[in-house]
Order: sequence, then C-alpha cells, then structure tokens
Amino acid sequence: MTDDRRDDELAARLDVEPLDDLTRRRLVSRAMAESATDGAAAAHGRDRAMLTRLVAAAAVLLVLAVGVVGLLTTTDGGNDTTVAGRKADQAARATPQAGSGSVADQGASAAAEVAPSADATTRGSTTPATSALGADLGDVGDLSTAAARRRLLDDIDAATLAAPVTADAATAFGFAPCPPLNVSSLIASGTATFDGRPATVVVNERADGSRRVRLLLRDPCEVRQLR
Amino acid sequence: MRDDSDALAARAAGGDRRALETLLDRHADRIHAVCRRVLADREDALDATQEAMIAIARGIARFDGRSAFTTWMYRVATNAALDEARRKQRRPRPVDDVADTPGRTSPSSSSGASSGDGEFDAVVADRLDIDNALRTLPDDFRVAVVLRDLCDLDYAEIADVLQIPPGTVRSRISRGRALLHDALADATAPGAGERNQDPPPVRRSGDD
Repeated sequence: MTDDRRDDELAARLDVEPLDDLTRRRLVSRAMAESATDGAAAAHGRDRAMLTRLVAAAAVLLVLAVGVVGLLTTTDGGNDTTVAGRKADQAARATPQAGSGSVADQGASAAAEVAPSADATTRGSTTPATSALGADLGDVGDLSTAAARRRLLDDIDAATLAAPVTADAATAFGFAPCPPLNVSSLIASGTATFDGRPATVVVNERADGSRRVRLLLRDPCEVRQLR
Repeated sequence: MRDDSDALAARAAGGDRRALETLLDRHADRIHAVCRRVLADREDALDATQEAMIAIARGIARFDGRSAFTTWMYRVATNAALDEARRKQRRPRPVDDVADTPGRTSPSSSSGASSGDGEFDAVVADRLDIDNALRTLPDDFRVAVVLRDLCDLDYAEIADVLQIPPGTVRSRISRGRALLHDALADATAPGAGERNQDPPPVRRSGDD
C-alpha cells in the first residue's frame, strides 16, 4: 500500500454510523432557523445602518446650514448687521471721557450696554458709542463744579463725534427738552447730574464745525449752556 | 452528486432556502462523520456538527463556487471540530465525565473486553479502540487521516481544505497512519485496558 491510496482497513474502522432521522432533522432545522434569524437581523441591521446614515447626513446638513446662515448674518457687504455685530462695533468705537470721571453706560440702549466703564485703560478714548441721539457719552458724572464741566468739554473736544441722529429728542431722552432741540445737528449725548438733579448732556455741531454743549435739566425744565 | 451539490449550493447562495435545506440534509452525515472522528467524542461531535451546519447555512451566500461545495463543507466541518476541541480543552471537565469518557474504561471492563470473554460487543469495543487511538494523534495528523481515509479526499483536495501544501498533507497522512496503526495495535493487545487508563491529551503536531 502506498500513501496515495486510501487505507481501506482504516477507512472501515473510521466509518461512522449515519445520524438517525430525528437528530438529522433537528440539526438541519436549527441551522436553518439560525440562518433565518441572522438574515432578519442582518436586514434589521441594514435598516438601522441606513437610518443612522440618514440621521448623520441630516445632522451634517443642519450644521452646514447653520454655519452658512451664521456666516451670512455676521457679514453683510462688510458691514455688521446683527445686534451682536453692532454691539461689537459700538464697543470698538466707544470712548470714555477722560477727566470726567465716568462715561460708564447706565442707559437702556444697546450702546449703553457696551460702553466702557470709567477705568484707566479706557480713559482718553476718542470714539464714544453711538445712540439714537448721536454718539453716546454715557454717564459723565456730576457736573456741578466748573472743573468737572471743563473736563467734559475737553473730552468732547478730543472725541470723534459724528454719529447720525436716528430719533427725535423726546423719544431718545424719554422727555421733551425745553426749548425743543435741533436734533439734526446733534452729534452726541450723555447723562449727568447737576446740583443733585438728573441731567442730559447734548452736543450739537454748529455750521462752522464747532461744538455746542448744553445741559438739559428737568423738573423744572431748564437748559444750561456749557459752551 | 458532487455536481448536483454544487448546483444546489449555487441556488442556496442565491437565497433558495429549500436548496439550502436539501444541501444540509444531504451532507449532514458526512459533516457529522468528520466531526465525530476529529473529536473522537460523540457528544462533542454533535455540538460541532451543529456549529458546522449553522456556519454553512450562514455562510452559503458567500460561497463563490470556485471550489467544490464539498471541499468548502469539509473545511467548515474541520474548523468547527477543531474549534470545539479547543473549547473543550478550555472547559473544566466535570468529575462524572471522566468515567463516561470512551477509552477511560474501568479496569475490569476493559480487561474483560480485551480478554474476549464476551462482555462487550465487538463493535462497541472497536469504536472505543478507534476513538482512543485517534486521541493519541496530534490534531493535524488526525484531521489529515480522517479527510483521506474517511472522506476519501485526494491530496490536492485535502491541501485545499486545510490550506496547506500537498507535501505537508502527504507527510501528515503518512505519519498519522503509522501512529494510528500503532495505537490500534496497542489497544487490542492483552492488558491494553490497564495501559489506557489516561487517554493522552489532544495535541498538535507542529510538523510544518
């Protein structure tokens, strides 16, 4: 006998009795059932995978859409158009009034919200925040003394005040000044106190470019010319 | 039948469940025979047969027909049997199982069988002998001998099933047969019952 031939003696001894019918049927039916379960599970898995891919794709599209919208709303021809943008711009241009003691914001306008406080790092800035009535000077403090008024005038002279007027005086200040102000030439305003009375500082630009600074007092209505 | 099985396998791979069922039913005995002889244990063989049939049913869609279905089937059955053998080695063996293990016969019964006093049916004794003898072979030799002499595969087919060179197949079969004949001779020799108290563990040859 060579190795290439089947060893008949061994073959006879290795032979195994056939499975009985019951065992064979059980083995076959279980294998079929397992593969059917797998098929259903695979189909379910494919459905879940497809759903997952769709959700992921939708999420990506949503993120992209939000990003594009955000990009478009933050830049509009190079100008900021959103509230946040305006605030940032106002913050960049806001200037405290050096020597006045304070140009900190106390008003309700957006400009007032971002106007810097009167700390040393911002004193001497030359670009106040804008408001409905020109540049917002913020709260310039107590102007009862001549020195305080002089410092305010110096600050105003040094500041860049060219903000346009966007509302009438009564709307902007919450009261009607007396006599009525010429808002068309008004370039800045702020709040102050004078002899313990609340006051509003208004700056108008004259035709020759010089600046007229007045203090509006209420109860009773009074206008004091600072320059 | 081989061509018929390949045609059935092609239909089963295409999703024909009836063809798959026919295929499994037709080859269940061959799968079981391979597992039975590779494992040399009836219960383990049934477990391995079930795993092999499940693997075939699950994997039939990937059967591409490049080899004969029976070649692929024997590969799956062999792997299932070897996997079962590895699982069995990792499992702690129950104490009661020791006495039931074929070949682990009591001294009185095995001596009775070998002495030929008629206590054991000759067929049963022969089954115990072949199981014991098979256990003495390393896995690789045993599988090669089973595929050649039980399944009647030629060397090229065995090389395909086991994914090894034909020369290695030849070597394993030659050495496996020699070891098996020696083990069978020992098992039928007088006093073999006492020598076979502890069946040797399943081994791997490491010949290649």
